[in-house]
Amino acid sequence: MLLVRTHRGCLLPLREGLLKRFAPISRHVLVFYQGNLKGYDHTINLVLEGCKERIYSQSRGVEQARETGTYSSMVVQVQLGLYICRGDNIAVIGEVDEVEDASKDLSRIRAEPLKPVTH
Amino acid sequence: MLFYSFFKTLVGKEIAVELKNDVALTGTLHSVDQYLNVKLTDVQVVDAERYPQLGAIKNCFIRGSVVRYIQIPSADVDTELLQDACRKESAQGK
Repeated sequence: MLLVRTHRGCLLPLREGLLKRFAPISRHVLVFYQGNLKGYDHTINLVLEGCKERIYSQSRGVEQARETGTYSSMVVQVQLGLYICRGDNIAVIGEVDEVEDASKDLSRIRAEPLKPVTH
Repeated sequence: MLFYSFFKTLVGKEIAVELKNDVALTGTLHSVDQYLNVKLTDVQVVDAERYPQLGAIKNCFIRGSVVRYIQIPSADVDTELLQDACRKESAQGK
């Protein structure tokens, strides 16, 4: 499962930490979580297991949370574990084609920042 | 509930959904619920080069609250019927 989220409040502490360690990241980023969907409710609050975070930016490759705990200069690897995400932050939930996803070289992907969702 | 019923008649049709962050997705409408959350199959992102984030997604769920527009094929909409239904619903004071 893949969950797309716009740049909003509740994950900021984590991102602040990342920003301190890996300085030149644009603040306007899209946050992706990828994990196995363990549960949900009618407001689309989600429980994600084995969650990984991906941060896309224009200046560097995708920062992806991985299970290994080591990181290279391009890819930040942080395992988030079990995550509960509140429904009102969620835009799209998509089923990942794992073969296609694995074939992508994340360190080469650059993405323009997405605009925040404005209600 | 009128538009919920209306969207139910469009299940299986090709639609385009524009989100409130300007991302647009096209796909086949698989299902819709009372919040107008929609499920799409055979999803393609409009301007995929600009949004590589969504590249590996084939089927998806879109939360109704982030939808700005849903574009639907005009051939599949009976606007007179829809207008009548709207009038009826507003006459009932709903």
